[in-house]
Amino acid sequence: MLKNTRPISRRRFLQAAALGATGALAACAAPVAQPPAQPMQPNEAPAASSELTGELIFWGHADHPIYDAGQAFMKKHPGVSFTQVEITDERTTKVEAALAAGEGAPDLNWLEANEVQLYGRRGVLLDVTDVVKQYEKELVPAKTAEALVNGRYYGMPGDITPNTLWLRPDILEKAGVSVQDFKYEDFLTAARTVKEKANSSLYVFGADGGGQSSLMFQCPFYALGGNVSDASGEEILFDQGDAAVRAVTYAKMAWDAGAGLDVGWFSPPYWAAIKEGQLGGTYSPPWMRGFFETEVKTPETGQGKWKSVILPAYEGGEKHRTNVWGGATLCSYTQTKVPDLVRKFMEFTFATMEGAQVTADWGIVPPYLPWLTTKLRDVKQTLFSDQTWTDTLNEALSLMREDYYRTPAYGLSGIAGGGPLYDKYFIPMMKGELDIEAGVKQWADDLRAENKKLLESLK
Amino acid sequence: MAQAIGKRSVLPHASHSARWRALLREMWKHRVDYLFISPFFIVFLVFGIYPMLWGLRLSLSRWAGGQRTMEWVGLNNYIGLLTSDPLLGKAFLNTMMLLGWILPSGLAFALIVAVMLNARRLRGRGLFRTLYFLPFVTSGVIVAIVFSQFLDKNYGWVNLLLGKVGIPPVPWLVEAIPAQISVTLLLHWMGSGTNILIFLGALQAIDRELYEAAEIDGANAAQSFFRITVPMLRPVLLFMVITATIGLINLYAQVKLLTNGGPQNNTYTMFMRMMDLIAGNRFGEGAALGFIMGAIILVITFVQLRLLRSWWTVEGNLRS
Repeated sequence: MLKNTRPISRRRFLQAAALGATGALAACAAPVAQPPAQPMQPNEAPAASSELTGELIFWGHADHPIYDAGQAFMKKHPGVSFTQVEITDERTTKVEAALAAGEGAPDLNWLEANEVQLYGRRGVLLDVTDVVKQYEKELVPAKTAEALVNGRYYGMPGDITPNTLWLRPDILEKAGVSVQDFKYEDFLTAARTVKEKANSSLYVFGADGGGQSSLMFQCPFYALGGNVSDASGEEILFDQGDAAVRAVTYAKMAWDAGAGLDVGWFSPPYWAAIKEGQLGGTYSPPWMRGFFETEVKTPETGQGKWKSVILPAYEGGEKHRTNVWGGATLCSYTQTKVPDLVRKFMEFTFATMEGAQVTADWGIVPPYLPWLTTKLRDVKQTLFSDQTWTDTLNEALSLMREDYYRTPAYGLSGIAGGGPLYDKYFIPMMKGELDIEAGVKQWADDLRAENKKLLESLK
Repeated sequence: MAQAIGKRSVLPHASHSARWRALLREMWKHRVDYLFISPFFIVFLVFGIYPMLWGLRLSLSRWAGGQRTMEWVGLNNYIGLLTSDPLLGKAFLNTMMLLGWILPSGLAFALIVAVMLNARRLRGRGLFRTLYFLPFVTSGVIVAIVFSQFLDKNYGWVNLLLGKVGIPPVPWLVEAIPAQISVTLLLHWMGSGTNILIFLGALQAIDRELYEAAEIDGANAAQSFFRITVPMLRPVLLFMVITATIGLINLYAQVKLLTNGGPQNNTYTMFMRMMDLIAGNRFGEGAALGFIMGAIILVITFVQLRLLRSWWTVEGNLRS
């Protein structure tokens, strides 16, 4: 067969190959005109049915409440497809690339309060004022405020996170300590006793001071009326008043007590310590329940043995014995191709009984008041010994501040669990290498300089 | 091509446009050849040159990201970083310290192992080569996570083993010096395999007759090593010093996962600062820091080239 083939010149072969490659590329390109049978996008008026259709892409970490909400939404609207892409550390970079490209950002993202404030100021988030306004009176005010930027809402208030103290009464009993309404000093004494007699910690305080350890600072800072910045995010208030200095002092007391669990937050040793009873207590936001229940699956590892009480009282901070840590807001971007579907999903997830129930079953606390006031006690859970934890949660909800501002400056400060400024000052103050008052002042000065540059970049 | 060159040599004062026309004619003549080498240049232009120029423009601008336009600010981003950034000084010192320690120790270790593997009577050389190279093909992310578990102060295997021989637990990841040692260990473990392979390849290319001649002349092993092996490795050594310098100044993922820059920013590198600036919406400053790092690499590389060249004579002998 080859013998009968006419010889081909090198030039002709190369030309033919180039032509072929061009043809192949053209074949791969998107068609110019849509075929008439293409399904209609949901933001266009459906022809015959009002049933929702379309695709929603959500970016979030594994084991996520919004994933559960997506499944429930699909069940309710079979024409909708909900896909979760598991993205964690590189999320910001990918979002930035998509924003610069003008497409490719997810339809739904779960943003921290300071991120909503940052991206809201940049004008890249989908304005969902119409949806939030519709339910404004039915949502927890402290949470809705976090989605408000210059009078517009840029996200659906999601997870409210009043922190409480979780304890294992069985472990405390071994040390002869009873579960009670602790004053902070008494709590530290109890923690020392439990550490000594039951080899268990009542709080987490890793040597790096990051993650959950930061609650030892955050909680008194919140209770004592501290704020990183004002509501606009422009004025740094971190070193105004004595809240920060006192909060660092309280944290140092816990550090010096040496009774904390010294592990990296969410590391395998952390989970091992919980399962082996080496963590008999922890300051905790409600959303931790979702992660705990994934790990703590048998009574031997603590399932059904936990109890929740209000945080220890700091002198002068009795009115706000809680804190907010994490607790994200459901957002979308202006570039989404399905804004109406996004709004419907937000409405379903955090402004209906059904959606609120699904997310609460995972472990977060939805801000929808009709649900909170009637169904909180019905939440399915396996971690706590009884449902009185919901009473504690309700009490903590009533102790929340409406004047605590988680602006971009809050993110810069690192007090939410770590960051270079936090690392620069917090542990040196714990170790006594840096005077607390001087440290707080320097921390605030650095924060002012950094925040000024951040705000300039937003202009 | 030869014709065109010939024309140019015949007409040295040919007009500028005539020369351009000749060049274009020549290119047109070889258009198919150019077409087939063009993919590399297109990719290089799109993903290499264009981003670099865009980044340079960004470093001289203020930009809020997304579809917003850039506002020209001149050298303000550079000046701000160099004069008032609260973390860059520490990040620079850390990066230089890691570079100053990891670069020589890593290359020395790789060279020693390569020389050992190059021994004539060594059996199972292939096996050793594979073993040393294995860390390189393992995901850096996984390795960093495993290391962080091994080196955990209270629950890590390393301290467990040290405890068995009566050594108290070392705060590997929570004290400054141990954390820097941990980063060094991780990078050596990951990078040595490639370095050993490259050195081994170069060692095997050295003519054995040189050693035999030296032996006849009465040279001992150390003299052979310093007078023959090291000078003969000079091109490879230069290449490795320069690539390792670039890699270490751009150090990010392993440190981010192992120590996250801690404790107290003692392993916080310049690249981490750059990433933090970008994540914090300060794209212009992030880009400016990228170019500052590029400039640092150029300066260090230049100094390294001069130093390494001055250490050897043209004949390849070490200067006394």
